[in-house]
Amino acid sequence: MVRQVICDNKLRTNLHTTITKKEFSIGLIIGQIVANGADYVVHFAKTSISSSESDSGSSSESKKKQKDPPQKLNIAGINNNEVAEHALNALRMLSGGFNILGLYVVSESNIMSDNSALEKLKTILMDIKSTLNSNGLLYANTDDLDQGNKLILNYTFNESFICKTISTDPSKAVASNPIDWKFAEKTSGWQIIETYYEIDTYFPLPHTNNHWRQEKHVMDTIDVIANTLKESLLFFDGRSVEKEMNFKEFKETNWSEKELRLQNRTTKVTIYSKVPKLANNDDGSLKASEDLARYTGVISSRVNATDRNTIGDIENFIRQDIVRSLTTRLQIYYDALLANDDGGNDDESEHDMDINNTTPPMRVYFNNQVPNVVFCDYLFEHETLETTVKTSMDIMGNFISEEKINDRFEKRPQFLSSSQQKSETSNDSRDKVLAVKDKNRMILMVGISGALVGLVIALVARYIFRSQFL
Amino acid sequence: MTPKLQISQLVINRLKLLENVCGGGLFGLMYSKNLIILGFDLESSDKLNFKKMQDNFPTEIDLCGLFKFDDCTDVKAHMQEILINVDITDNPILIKCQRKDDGELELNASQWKNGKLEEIVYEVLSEEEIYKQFVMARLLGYIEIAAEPNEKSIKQEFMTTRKKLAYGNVLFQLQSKNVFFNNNEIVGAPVSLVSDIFDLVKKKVENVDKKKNKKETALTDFQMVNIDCLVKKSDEFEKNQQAALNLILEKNKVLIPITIDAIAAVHITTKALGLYDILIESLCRTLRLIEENLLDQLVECDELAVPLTYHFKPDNFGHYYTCIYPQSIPDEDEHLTAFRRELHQQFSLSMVRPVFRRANAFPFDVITSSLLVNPHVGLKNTVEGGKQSLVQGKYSYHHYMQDKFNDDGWGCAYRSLQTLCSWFRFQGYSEHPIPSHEDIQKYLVKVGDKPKTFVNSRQWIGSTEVSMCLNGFMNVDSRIMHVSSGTELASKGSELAYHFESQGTPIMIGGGVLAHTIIGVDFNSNTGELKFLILDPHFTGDDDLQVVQNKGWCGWKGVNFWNKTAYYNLCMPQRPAIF
Repeated sequence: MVRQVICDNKLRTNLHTTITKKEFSIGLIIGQIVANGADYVVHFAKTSISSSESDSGSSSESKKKQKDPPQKLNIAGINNNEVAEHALNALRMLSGGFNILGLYVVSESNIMSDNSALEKLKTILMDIKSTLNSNGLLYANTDDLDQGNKLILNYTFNESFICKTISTDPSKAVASNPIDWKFAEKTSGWQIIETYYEIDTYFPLPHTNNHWRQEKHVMDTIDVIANTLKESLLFFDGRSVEKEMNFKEFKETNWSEKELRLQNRTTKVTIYSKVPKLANNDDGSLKASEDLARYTGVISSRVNATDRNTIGDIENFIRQDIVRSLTTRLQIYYDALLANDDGGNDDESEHDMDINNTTPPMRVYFNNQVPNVVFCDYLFEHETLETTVKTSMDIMGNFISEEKINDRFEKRPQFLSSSQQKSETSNDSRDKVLAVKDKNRMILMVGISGALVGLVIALVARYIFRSQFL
Repeated sequence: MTPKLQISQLVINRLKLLENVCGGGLFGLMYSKNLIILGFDLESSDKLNFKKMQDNFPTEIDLCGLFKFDDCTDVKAHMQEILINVDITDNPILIKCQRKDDGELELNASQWKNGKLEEIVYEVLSEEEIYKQFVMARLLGYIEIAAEPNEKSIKQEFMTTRKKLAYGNVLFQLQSKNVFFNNNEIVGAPVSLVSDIFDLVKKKVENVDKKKNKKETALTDFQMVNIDCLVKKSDEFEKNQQAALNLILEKNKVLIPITIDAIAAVHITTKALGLYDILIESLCRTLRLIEENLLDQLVECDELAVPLTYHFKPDNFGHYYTCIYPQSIPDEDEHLTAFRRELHQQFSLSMVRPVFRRANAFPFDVITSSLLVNPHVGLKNTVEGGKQSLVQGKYSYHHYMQDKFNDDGWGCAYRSLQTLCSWFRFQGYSEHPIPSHEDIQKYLVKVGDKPKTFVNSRQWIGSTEVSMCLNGFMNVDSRIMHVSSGTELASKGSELAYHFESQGTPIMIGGGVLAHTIIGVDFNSNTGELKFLILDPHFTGDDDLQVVQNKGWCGWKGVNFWNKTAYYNLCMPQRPAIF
């Protein structure tokens, strides 16, 4: 049976923009692979291809070339690394369950019959795979669902399209298989499933070096949390649900008639885990011979699912989403710290200053063209929503206004020592008590004022009446 | 309403043995309008510290009153003093113990009501009845707490953890079952009572037993329900936006691994929904005990060690008692010895028998293993007017073909030695693992008793070798009794009875013929009639209690059991005088 792919009709406009400009373009197909069913495409993300001229040559040559018409882009001229880098950045903005399903190419003529073009596309896909797999636990590998067969959608300037698959297996020949691609008005009712994963985990570190900065530490941290999540129990709206049940059945069992009619309920997930063993006490002693890297705070998670997804699928999406988000945060955090290093200064106090002044980024969400489908971005303390507007444009090819960005799910982390945290917690509770007291005081004041006004009115009325009768 | 009072037969038995004591605290459990007294301890000389001890008892067993011997007069003052510490009843119990002229002990129960004592009747519950009516819920899990190694920080971090866990942040799961308890519902099975939960656990075991066509045997211990503890890792923070993930470098803190192993005593008619609160209290109790241990370590030790939980169930106690010991600190450590001495005094225990050493910890793992423990329980003998003197405590039955090792025809003395070793492990004298045939052979070569070719051979060993190995592996001395013939054994009744009464250890008997284990005698000193309770290591079948008892592999044998013409050597292990 031919693999079926369903794409929301709204996404056609993305392709039409380039078609109308008669521009060659390449980009990522983003969507969800569904076992034993049609795959869903939820976004086309155009790759920004830098022109080769700008990379080399003297300034006079550059000026000269600026006057010349731009060189015509084609498949052969694509820099694989640029597409792979784009795929990595785009994947980091996807919630669990969504992946890069393949590539689209808008070209003047059909490239599917051009063997050299197909070979080039295969190398791009292989480079994407290699880049994504070498970047920690981003759950980019979908081989178990698509056997490594990635989509290639070719849209020509005359608006005809064809979709086939190319295998990323290097041992296989570049033979493409047909795909039953459909643009549909209403592809699926995407639902939102939401959770907040709370982390408060200590990782012991040797005193002697900046161990926390090492890649191994980052990978160990991610591994521990991923393994803990793997073994965890997920409750949907407070219930333990059979993994085999599909989301439609779940809704019918748990949603009210009104909620079913409006399809507007966000499902909340609660996660229970066993605590991983991280303490190094094989000899039984408890010595303060190590520093502790404490990861604390929440990872918010919002994933999308359709009625066809099973609870087991959704559980996997959530686990993937949390780990993907954790990986992304830590990678860009450590990259940012490294970028701030002043050329290999190993002085410990310098490093401490880095970590003291910088916190990992927080997650914000924004909507896709397809209703309810959410993408995300990460913002450092010093960054504003404007950064996300730009990132969305650069990576997803989407313009979104700042108002459309949802930053209410996470609060910006601030650097705090543990003692400061405690006092903040107690201050928080004190603040709450004070707030309640203030509220009570206000109610009292309003009451007293009301009574006084009433009294004055009564006195005035009495005076008037008395004057009248006197 | 006045609760109905029940007292465990074991409590009464232990009270009867007390001499020269004034009184102590009573510990009991409230369930459906009943109060059952399951344990007691003696008041210490300088202060009453019953409340503190409560955390060492299984959850739900709490301080509920006092017992006093007749010559103590300060009852009223003591009752008022403990009143503030008794949470489970408004009317604490007082048991007055009076030693009569014939030495028997008379017990009278009263309850403290409106500032005076009112006499009440009580019912005595047998050990087996208690095992039938109560289930032990064993909570298992793991958490870590980071704290600075000082009193303030440890107290603060433990308090924070307890609050967090008690505030609905845990989920309990029936081990290996998809049955969960949270603070407002039980998910996964239609259960309303604790007995329903226990039925779910029992079902699997019963099915196996039915296949083996096993008959139901008398309960000799509490039935256990294992429950895993999971921590809530997510919440609906929407209303109160939480800070995103952050990284903080902490210096001078230690990461304390905490293995949660807590026991709660629950009556089978308790509502299953109530189990959540009981397990939460169990969790908090164990955390309080661990915190207290760490604070003690700060005072007494140079550096902190990982606190580990041990559950003890001393013979004739009828309840568990939990202690926390620091890992890697030996039992012989000065502070641990002092701690145990205090416990022995508080429970009026012998100072020459180990009860609270690590090796005495309740062997949950052995219970789940296939080895039969004390297969002689339930066997009846018929020596008219005889007095039974039996092995004391627990042992496991070792015989041919176990451990997937074929020793049929030559390994009987090795197996008997293994049974003897198991006794010393069960009774807490040693933590040394039970030696294999190869271990035994290697040891005998090492001490120069056998040539090197002895290792991996099928040569027999005798009582002398067994005594050498007991000394080598378990640090135990033995007395060797020689009898020139089986007939002579018939005259050893009183000597063997004395061994079982004073030492209580199993005896290995070997010599010119096959080896056996003697685990008791029934002896009529007037008629001289004698029977031996024999554990036969030559059994090659599966460990099925019914087969072992019915076919006589463990059973009473007359003097004719022994070969009249063969000589015998008896290895009679002597208990070391330690506690």
